[in-house]
Amino acid sequence: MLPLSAACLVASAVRETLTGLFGEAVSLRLFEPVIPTPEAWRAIAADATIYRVRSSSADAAIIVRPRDAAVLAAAAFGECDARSDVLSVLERTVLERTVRAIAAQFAPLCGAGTLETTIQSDRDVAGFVTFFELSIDGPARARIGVALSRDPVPEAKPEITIEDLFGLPVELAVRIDAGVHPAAVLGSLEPGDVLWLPGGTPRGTLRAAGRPLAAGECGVHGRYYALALDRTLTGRDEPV
Amino acid sequence: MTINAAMQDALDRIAARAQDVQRAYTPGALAQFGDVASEHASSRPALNPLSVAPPPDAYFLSTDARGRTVYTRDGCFRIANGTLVGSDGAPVLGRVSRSGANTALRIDPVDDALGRASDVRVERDGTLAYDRVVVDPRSGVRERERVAVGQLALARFPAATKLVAVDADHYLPPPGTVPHVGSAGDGNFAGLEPMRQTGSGIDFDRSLERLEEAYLAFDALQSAHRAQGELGKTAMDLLK
Repeated sequence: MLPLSAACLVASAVRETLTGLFGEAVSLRLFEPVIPTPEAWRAIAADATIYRVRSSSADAAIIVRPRDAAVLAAAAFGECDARSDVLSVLERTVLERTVRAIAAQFAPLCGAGTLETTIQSDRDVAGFVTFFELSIDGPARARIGVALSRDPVPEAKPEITIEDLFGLPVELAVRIDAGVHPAAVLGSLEPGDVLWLPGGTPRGTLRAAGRPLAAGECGVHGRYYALALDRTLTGRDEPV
Repeated sequence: MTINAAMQDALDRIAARAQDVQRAYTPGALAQFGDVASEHASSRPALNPLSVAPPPDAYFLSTDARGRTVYTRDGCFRIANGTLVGSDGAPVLGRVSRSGANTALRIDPVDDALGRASDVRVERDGTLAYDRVVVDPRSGVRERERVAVGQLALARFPAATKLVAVDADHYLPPPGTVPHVGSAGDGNFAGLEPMRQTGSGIDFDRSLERLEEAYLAFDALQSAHRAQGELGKTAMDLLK
């Protein structure tokens, strides 16, 4: 069964698309995805115009019943209702363009980037499995059926690249090696005491979220404390 | 024994009286004889949300097998193949839009095929309504949506109109009689009584009494006929 969240995603995208096409805010809700029986498929397809959307991973179909087709075509012309269920050539062209625009929003269902919107009228709904409907409440009232040949298979793809992370702020810390001291010294530490670091320039480790990134020598550069890196770490390495 | 015209009339009267008795418990049935008509046609509670009692003197519209509009006071409705039908399975008529003609009231075929229609009911104003669940794609919240299919039509005939029975609870007006057609709560008709079953318009006790009287009349005629026959035979014997 198609997850409701996937249908919601498509519905939201279709709403935005129709808002752009109709030139005013579109109110849209949806009916939950179901797996219709053969009898139900017949009822769904009866008298409807069916636009098949072919893509590499799954086929989809946009099913528009005569009254809804007329209302959608009228809505494109800024009218709230249709005078007749019979479409003129111009209205049919407008409807087809509307359907094409809607079909372009099916990428999350039919596969990203490879969507081929080869649209054709087709009365045959055999082979489709899942069905859900978009219910447009305003500016006109119409319903658009969506059928899928199979449920989308989750595809593991790197959606976020390393470049996308470059702008993120990362909080860094430097850990300085304070050497080895007797436990008695640690037990007698009080505010005002001075703890001497090991001789020479102290070494420090640069860390992000507790993971070591680099190691180097601590010191002063200009008027700032600084860490002169002499080695990078993989994150799993601990500085020697 | 031969049956003369008077005895045939008496037999016909028995049959007609027997029909009144048989229909005394048929919802919405009307008496063929005014002397057994109930003073107040009662209604009783029903568990069926599609069962409604019409206002006094009002009739629901239906169609018979010949396509004629027939009238009934039986409001025990049900849904068959998505259509509101009476107890005889014939569609009940109503208006889908204010300006539309009377037609059968049908649940949306896709909603019906997918089992979306729940809580199907006839409301006080005669509206056939049902609920379905829709989802807001932005929040994913499910909402119940009321869907009005149409409004039942009601008819009233001029006072003292003698309707012709088509069957147990369907009637036709005499030729030339045009009913006033409207809907519940429109100013001309009172509201319906939801979840009520109309009683018959026949007083059972009185109809039994009249049937008994019809039998007695037939017995008297039969005796008279037999006596007349015996008298004739005696006269013939004397002549011989």
